[in-house]
Amino acid sequence: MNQYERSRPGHSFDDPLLKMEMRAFTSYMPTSKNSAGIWAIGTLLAIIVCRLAFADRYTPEQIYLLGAVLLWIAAFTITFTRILMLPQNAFREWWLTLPVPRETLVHARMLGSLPLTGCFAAALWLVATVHSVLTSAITDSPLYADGDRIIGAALAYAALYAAITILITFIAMLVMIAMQGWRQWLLPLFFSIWCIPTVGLGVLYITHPDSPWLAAGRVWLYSAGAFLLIPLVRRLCLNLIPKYGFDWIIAKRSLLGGHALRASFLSSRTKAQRPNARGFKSLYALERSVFRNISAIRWVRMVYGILVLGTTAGGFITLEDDNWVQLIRALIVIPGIFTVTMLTLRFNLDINKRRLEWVLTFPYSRLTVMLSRLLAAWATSGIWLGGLAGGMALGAAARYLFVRPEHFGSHTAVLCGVYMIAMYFVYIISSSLASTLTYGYGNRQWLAYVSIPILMLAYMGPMLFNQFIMPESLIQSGISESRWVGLALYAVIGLPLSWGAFVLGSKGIATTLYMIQARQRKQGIKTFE
Amino acid sequence: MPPDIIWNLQDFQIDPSRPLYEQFVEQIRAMIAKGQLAPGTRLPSVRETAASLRVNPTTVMKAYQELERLRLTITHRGQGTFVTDEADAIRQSRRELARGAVRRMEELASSIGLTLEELIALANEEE
Amino acid sequence: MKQMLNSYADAAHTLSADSAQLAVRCREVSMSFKKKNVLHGVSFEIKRGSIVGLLGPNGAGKSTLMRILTGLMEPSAGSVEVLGSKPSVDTLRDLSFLPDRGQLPNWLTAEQWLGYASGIYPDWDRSLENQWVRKLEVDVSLRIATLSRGQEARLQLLTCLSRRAPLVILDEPFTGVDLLSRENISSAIADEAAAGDRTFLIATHDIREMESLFDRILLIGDGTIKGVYDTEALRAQGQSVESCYREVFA
Repeated sequence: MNQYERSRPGHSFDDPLLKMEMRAFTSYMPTSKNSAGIWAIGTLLAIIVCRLAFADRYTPEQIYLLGAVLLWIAAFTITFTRILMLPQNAFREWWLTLPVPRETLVHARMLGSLPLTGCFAAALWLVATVHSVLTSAITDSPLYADGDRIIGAALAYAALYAAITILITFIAMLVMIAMQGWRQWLLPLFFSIWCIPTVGLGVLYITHPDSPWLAAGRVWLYSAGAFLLIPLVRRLCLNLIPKYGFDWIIAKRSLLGGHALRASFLSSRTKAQRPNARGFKSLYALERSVFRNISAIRWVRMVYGILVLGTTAGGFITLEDDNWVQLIRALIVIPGIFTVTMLTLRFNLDINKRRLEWVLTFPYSRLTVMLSRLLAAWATSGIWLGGLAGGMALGAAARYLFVRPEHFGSHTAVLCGVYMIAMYFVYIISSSLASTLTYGYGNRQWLAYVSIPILMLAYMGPMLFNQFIMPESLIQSGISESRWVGLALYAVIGLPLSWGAFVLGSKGIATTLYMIQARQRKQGIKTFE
Repeated sequence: MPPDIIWNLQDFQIDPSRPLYEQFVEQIRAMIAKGQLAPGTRLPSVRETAASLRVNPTTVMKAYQELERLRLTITHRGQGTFVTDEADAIRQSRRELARGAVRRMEELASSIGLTLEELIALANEEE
Repeated sequence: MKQMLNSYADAAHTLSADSAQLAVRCREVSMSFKKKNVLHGVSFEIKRGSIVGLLGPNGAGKSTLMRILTGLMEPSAGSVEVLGSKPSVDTLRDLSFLPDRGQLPNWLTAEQWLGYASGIYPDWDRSLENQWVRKLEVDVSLRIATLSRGQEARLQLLTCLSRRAPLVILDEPFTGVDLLSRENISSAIADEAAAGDRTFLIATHDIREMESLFDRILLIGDGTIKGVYDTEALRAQGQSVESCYREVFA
């Protein structure tokens, strides 16, 4: 009879298991001077971005709603990625053999991420609230004139944020039961829960600014409803996960390591040919092989095929008036986000798998090695986008041949398309070059501070572009000369600057190894993630 | 030409706190003296020996040089190292071995206050 | 001042005289990071053609030292020479490095990896590769992701040995490797050392497995060199590498 069995499941925050679960997140929380600084800067930046992006065009409730959406996604993602990583977690066997009922393990894990998600919720709430107060103070906007309304919204949404934090974390925990056997069919359900808030984004734009659906009164109701659901979901977690949520952890390598991947593994064993490129070409081919391997996975092919079919249909449908420009505008966001994300993921994986030392001791300069990596990511983006664009062209051609619309594309629309493509081209090149800076700051702390906003910008680029530089109305208004000048300036100044950042980042890239070593020394090797 | 023998670690008793090359010389020499390595036998190359015994090649080389100096082996260029055919050299090394054994026994005998002859007599005494 | 210049000139003279026979020379190398001293005052030399063991407890600074030798990191103070020049991309051409617990690109088959590696390393020798594939018994048609630790360790060593690089630096080639693979690997090292005048620097905890392989050992602890010994000289004094290690670190 140990202490866990007596107090199952542990409620006390002194519970060592719970403390350990929380400890996994402490390094991300504002617990030290450094991390508190980063949180403060992040919040401040978010307030500024919020102020610049939304000004007084949206109601306070709409801003809060956007925050709620982000919180929803974050709460789900934090818990969900932790579950996905379980099979690779070096600590998993320790975790599973702790002398504690599984119910207690589940409970501790359910509560463990709450402080971090809570911090995130608080930060979001703060951003929205400061934005409301600020806007009401410095503008005469009628949307922000009513002080009571702002206070009401702040309180009601505070309750909603608290409810979302807990409820979504618990719901995401339930994914554990859907990782094996027939229950995998439940996965789409969870994915859709994950995605529901993106519908919320639509609501943000569509609803009437004074929609009662977003007003404080109803939000209190939503929160109350969510709070009522929480004990129910908690019970479900504690009853179902211990029974159905554990077997897959040892059996499976990862979600990717399922049958789909294994099948393609075996088939490519026979197909695999010895590559015979030399020098830089071989380096590049090695970098490309990562992406080739991803595109060989069956379900990736399927998803991509569906996407191509989608763009084909899209090309067919939108070849009327200037609609196809909108399709390009939507499509081109994909490589914009994809390229930097891929590079970041690759780099982190190389660090985790300790592959970086092999790569960095290839007899080529750091610049050459990193360049081969960027080129491979660019080529991949190009090829994948090429397929989508090809689909779209095919659809458009079919439409042209069989059901030719009377009017498709004006001179303005074509210019607009060219402008957007050129803009994104420069953006993708410059953002991926500049993002290299985040790996190379090493001993130079100031570079670390510089690189954080750069990476944030690199990720938010597409959103900012679509908001400011190429709004939907662009097609009607056409591309003014100043826009072309702006693009040219961006290319002439931005590209050399980002090349400089790339050179700086590549040169210092090996210091990442040292950063990791120092971090491990300080925190102990992180096995409990 | 392949060697007539390949050594593995079990053929030797290695004490890690004595110079390895000495031990190889001693033990190969004993093998030759005992006839375990017949005259004319081709020894494995330095490289083969180093790899199969997982020993530093310089050590093996030194041992081979010492064997050569003791005229127990002969190296024919391009053909390898062979155990000598000279009966004299082999006899000489048997004599060395015998002397060593006697010296050790004398030491043992004196440690219990006997001469070598007394020691042997004592051992042969009937119950 | 004049005296100082003289001593510099002397140092330069001995430097040029010796460096032809030296694979590695470290002088007063220190490394600190975030006010933490990881290495301090590390000086040693490694002669060409020798097999040197870098021994010491966990966290002694072995990996950091090796990273400095490969040019992955620059020391905060002191001078390092690898094959007569400062570690850089150029020295990487003549240096084969096996990182500690580093993984190869696991989405490839071993054959594919060797194909890329043979293109990436300018000194790759296909016949050496074939020889080591045979001797180390690596099934090259397998995916690296499906290899056992011992198999992957052998593949990594094979990658290092298939190059003609005169200096081979191995950081813990044995972690998590089974007995037979360990024997296989150390036998390959002895074999390769005998074949040419390659220099090996090997960090390991497997002292018993490796001790008869070393010419010399460097004992490193708490970021400093605790001793440099000639192994046969140690044994002549009745000490084994293991007992020496115990004496220094226990």
